[in-house]
Amino acid sequence: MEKTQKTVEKNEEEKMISKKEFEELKKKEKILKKAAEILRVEDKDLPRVIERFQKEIKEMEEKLKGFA
Amino acid sequence: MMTKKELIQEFQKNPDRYWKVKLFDELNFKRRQCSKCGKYFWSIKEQETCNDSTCRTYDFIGKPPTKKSWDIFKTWKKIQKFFVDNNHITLNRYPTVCRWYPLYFTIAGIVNFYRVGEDGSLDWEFPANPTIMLQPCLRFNDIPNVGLNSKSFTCFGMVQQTSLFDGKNGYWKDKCIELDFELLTKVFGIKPEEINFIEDAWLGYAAFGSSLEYHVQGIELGNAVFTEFLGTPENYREAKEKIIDMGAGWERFTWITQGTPTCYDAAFGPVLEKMKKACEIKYDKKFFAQYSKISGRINLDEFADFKPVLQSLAKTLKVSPEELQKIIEPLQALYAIADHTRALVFAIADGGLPSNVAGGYNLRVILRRSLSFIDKFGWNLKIEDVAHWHVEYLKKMFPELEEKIEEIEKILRVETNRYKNTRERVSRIVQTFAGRKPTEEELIRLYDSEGITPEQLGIEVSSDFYTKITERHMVEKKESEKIALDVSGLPKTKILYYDDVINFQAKVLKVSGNFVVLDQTAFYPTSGGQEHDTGYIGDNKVVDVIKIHSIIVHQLEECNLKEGQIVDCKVDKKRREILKKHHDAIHIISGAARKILGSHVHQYGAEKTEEKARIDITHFEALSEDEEEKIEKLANEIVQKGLRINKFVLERGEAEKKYGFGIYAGGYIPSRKLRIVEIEGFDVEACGGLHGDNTKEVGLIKILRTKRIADGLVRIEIKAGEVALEYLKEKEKILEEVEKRLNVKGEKVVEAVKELFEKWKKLRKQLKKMRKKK
Repeated sequence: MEKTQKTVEKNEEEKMISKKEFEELKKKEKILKKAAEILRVEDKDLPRVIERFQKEIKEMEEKLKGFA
Repeated sequence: MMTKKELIQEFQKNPDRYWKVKLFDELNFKRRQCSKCGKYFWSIKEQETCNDSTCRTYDFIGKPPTKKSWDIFKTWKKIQKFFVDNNHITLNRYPTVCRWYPLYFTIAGIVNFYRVGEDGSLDWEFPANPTIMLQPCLRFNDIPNVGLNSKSFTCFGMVQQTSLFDGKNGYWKDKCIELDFELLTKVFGIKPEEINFIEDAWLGYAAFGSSLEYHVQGIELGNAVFTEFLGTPENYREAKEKIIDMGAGWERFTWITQGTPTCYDAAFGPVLEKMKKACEIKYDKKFFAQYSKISGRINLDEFADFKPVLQSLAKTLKVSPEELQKIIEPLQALYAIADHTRALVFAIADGGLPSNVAGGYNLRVILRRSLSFIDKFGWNLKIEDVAHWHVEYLKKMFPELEEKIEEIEKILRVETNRYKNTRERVSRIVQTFAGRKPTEEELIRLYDSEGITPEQLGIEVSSDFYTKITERHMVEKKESEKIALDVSGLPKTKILYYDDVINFQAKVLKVSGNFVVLDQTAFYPTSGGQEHDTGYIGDNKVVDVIKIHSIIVHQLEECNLKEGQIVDCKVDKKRREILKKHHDAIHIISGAARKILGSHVHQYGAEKTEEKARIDITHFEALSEDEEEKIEKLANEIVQKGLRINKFVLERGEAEKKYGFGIYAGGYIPSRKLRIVEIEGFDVEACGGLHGDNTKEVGLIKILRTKRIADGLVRIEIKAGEVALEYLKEKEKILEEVEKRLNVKGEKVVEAVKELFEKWKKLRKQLKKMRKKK
């Protein structure tokens, strides 16, 4: 319970972000949302999906080289 | 359960006890039985029938029995003056959208004064005694008769006379009937022998009593209810404070002074004239007046099929049913449109919204019924114009309607367009039935899911069709209780959570399985959409907290407690703080949405959990990105302003007087005392939830998403405080990862993802092509 109390106090401090910081974070959230919408995935999955796409692109490029 | 009819029969065993008043003896009123309907009534004149419209014609049409002819405004002024001269206090009207009682609409003036106890008992609270008021009321259980029988309305003004009689103050039956009789005879100049009092009874929610309806030449003008018993006829006690609840028809009083063919002509005055002109309606006024005189016998509650009624009326008027229908149908439609639009004007001005949910459903039914009539007759009539004419006519008495006219017109326009859009789907739907007539259940389903009326499909329905679909949406459904635990005999739990208590000691009063009741508790139970507290009772983990009436029940993961034991308890403070912030944030978002979107915005539902919170608001269309931005911006400005959040308990009447009816924006609370949560200078709501002391404590509010979840309902999901910050930081972290993978920064990410996707698609296409070639 001691730990819980400290977490609450720490969070109380953390929440006091400036308007500018808030706007900056919101902007980043929007970018992420837009990017995820392009691939029709949830934003939390975006890094993993991008990695997969990059990997598949490499593989396809190599296969195409093989055809050439 | 005893029916009203059985209750009347019970009272009839002793009619003098329940219905006889001093005036009847003084003026030699005699008790008689109607030869047509069998009801008992009191009259001076020897007569066979009771004076009800089903037993005689409206003889006052063309020949009013009153001294003078008055419009609706003068009629009210005369009634008001009479009661004020007789020591009554005039009360302002209450909103037609009822948010302080488990009803969607104010169906009678007395509803404004009902108070429901935690045990479900009924009580009354009057701001003064005795009182008089003009209360616009909305009722949707008589829709088929509106326009048809010359007297039925969905929106009508109820003259509400109330008196609380405790033996010293107020008055009881004798004085009530004396006053009502004097109003009829001295103010309106109706001859005493024209007035009949019909014996009736009122069997309401947790109270009942006898009543006397007063009728003049075929029309019931008022009904004086004498509420003197609390409980049900099977289990009741005589009330210490008896209630006079007299409701009279404002429009009907006006009608009897004018003697116009219908009550609608008297009530709507210039509005109807404008409508007739716009629709180019011409008709034989003399014939229509003859029809109106006998139209009182129409009561579609009793006849599901209108055809035999029409045949009988046609026979009396010596025309064919077809001819009669051709003459009366357009006028009936016009009267219905006038009534329905006036109902919409009051409802929207008071915060109602046509939709597919709750009370909004009834408003949509009458709007679509009106639009169907316009379609059917091919009239060049716009509902928003009719609304405008009503407001113009009524504004001198109800100036608040004029303040809302733009919002009313906008909502009616959006709804009309929505109705027109459904037309396009009609032909496709007709095909699905492959030539057969849809069943009534299918038609109800079509109306529910697509908003398509039978009229749009060209299908004639039974006259009670709209009654069937609206009755299901008249009363707010009570949530069923979660557990079946017998708490009878236990004392009311002492509540500590409003005092911010976290650690406390309590005595275990009852243990049943894993359910425990303490003598006092700081654990907040799930209510008002706010999730319950968790924590420990002894070393037992609290997993749920439920309120049953005034008893709080704790559900434990495992239970080793014994009844009578004194136990240490601890609430999970972190969870409590987050829930409080989410609750504060929902009030702030609710206030911000109302300021940005309009006063029609009310909370339909809400949920505050540890993870996030949501509020479902009444609004007629999905929110645009701009609206979403504005609401969030305003909400965070309120957070930053550091406004004080005051929490206090007020008597309901005092709270309504001080803050208006906006306090019910968060939903109805039926009790006599209200806990008010005031965000100073911004928002005031009646709320039983837990809140912080200052908006600054919320930290920040982030709207996660908004979504139109049903017609007329928009869901706003939010996170507040550190939960919102954690969410944004998490998104920032993900974006950083994405940036790293794509080797770009900020806004360039979107373009890079697009390029990546395009490249992937292009390569896939090329590879497919190559494989085919091979």
